[in-house]
Amino acid sequence: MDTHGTRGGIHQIRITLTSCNVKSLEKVCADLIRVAKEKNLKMKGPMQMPTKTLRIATRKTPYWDRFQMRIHKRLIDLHNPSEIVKQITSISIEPVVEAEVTIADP
Amino acid sequence: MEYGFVAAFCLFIFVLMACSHSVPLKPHRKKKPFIEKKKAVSFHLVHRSQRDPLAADETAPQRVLLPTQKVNDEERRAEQRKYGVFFDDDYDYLQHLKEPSGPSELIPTSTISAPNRRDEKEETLVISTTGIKLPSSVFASEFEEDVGLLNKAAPVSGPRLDFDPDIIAALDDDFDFDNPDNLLEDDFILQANKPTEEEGTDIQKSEAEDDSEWEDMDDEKERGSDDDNYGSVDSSDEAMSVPGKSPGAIENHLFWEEETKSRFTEYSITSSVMRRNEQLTLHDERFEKFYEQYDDDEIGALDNAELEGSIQVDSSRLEEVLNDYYKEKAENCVKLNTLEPLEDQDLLMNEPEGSEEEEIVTIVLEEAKEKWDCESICSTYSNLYNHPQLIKYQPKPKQIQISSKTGIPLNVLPKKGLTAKQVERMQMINGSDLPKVSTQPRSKNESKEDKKARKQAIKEERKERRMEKKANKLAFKLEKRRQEKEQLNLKKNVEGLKL
Repeated sequence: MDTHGTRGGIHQIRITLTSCNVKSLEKVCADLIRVAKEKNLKMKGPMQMPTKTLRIATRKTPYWDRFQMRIHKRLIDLHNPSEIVKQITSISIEPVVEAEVTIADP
Repeated sequence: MEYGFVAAFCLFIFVLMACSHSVPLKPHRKKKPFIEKKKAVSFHLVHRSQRDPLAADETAPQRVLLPTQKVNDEERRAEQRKYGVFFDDDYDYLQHLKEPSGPSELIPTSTISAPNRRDEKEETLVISTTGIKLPSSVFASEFEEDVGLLNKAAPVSGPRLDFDPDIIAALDDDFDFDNPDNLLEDDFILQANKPTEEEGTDIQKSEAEDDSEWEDMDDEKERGSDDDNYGSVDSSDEAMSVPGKSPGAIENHLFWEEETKSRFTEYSITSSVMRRNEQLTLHDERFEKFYEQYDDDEIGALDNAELEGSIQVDSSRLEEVLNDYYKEKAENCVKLNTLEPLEDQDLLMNEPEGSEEEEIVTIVLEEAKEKWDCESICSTYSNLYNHPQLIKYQPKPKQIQISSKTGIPLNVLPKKGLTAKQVERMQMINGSDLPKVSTQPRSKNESKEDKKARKQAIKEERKERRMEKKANKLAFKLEKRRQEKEQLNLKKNVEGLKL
């Protein structure tokens, strides 16, 4: 293991943020973008994936009970995020939002 | 017209802009994806585990990257089947199959990781597949404590066995607060802080009576100070007393001398931890005493005492048993002979020179048969169940019937004979007495005219009879109506008239 590790080797990070709650999601996105912009990183802003609606209709006589769940997804791409990796882990993400980080090394 | 021109111009510009895109969108070339999924590694961003020692560290990031496991469905199902889970749905049952935690390690209490890490430069972890380097603080620590941070702060429940026995005794329900031995002294702190003095014998005595005295409060105070208090405070009698139990301690048993095993419990912790107050303890003791009665092994019948083992053939015991057997048999034989002295005597008579020994003669005894007949059989029946009686005939007495006209019960008064008028009438000859054609027998040799004549006569008689009946009916009807009218008039007019 390298103690004086070259922090290089990471070129691209894709952060996927998923949530049922739009407001929290937007808040987290804004936080991430703010941090990235402070470091002047090349970043592709939140890309909105189409929201998936899950519908379940249960029979509750005399009517039908319709339930819905909307899943919102945002993608944030970062190029050369060498310093930011640690920062990402220390920002407080709201509990509703699920974050996934995919790292690639071209 | 102008608008049209402006619109066209705008459109043109727009098309130009679209065409001057940085990346030429050629139909046959795919746009390079940002991240190639096959080469990339994914992580989930999760909170750091409470068991992670870095959870308490403020400089370390509170969120860690947890690598995702992209396990194929089929592979996962195969893996599940190994462990006996045969469901074929998309749920990951492997997450619930966790190996039991291995043997625990002993770790020194001083903190290891956090301060050291700050001094050194951060180590980097290399992800093997792709060669990506990431700072190690971003990942979960390899070493995890057994008890999480939050759980350490949780209050401990259950029996605290690590406390001093004095304290446990005081916390118990049965602790006698009124016992002067158990009270705190007013200046106990001063006494506790006094320098220690050693008194050899007293050490032993104080140890012997510790559980009943409340002299030392602190766990960490030495026994020596305890001695001192004991010697100074208590009466000199106790200090001088026998190197055994003092009178005060006779009631309270020595802690380690007490027999903690009872008939119901072994030396188990569970039985010592069970909630017990005075009443319950009393109950337990009573049970103990009660069951003492059944301790005796000699209770019970002796008949089934079986012995097992082998015995020598010529041993004395066996010979005794055999002798007893022969004796019994001999006795039985003697009994028979005593029953029939007569027959024996006969034998003896026949054999006057008879041998000294009496021969055993088998005699069949016939029991005296009882002869029964009907009467004697019946006489044996007890009268409890047998109540013979003469058969009687008692017809049911008829109900008294009252005639509706007169109100006098029927069939009671003697029947009247005929009145004079009736007799006279009977003697008169009525028209009905005369012979009628219908009643006369038909002669066999009847001519047609006779038959016709006879039939006609019968018809006429019937006609007459009909007319009579009609007249009678009418007469009766009229009479009935008249009488009813009369009654009604009487009722209406005459009733209630006072004369």
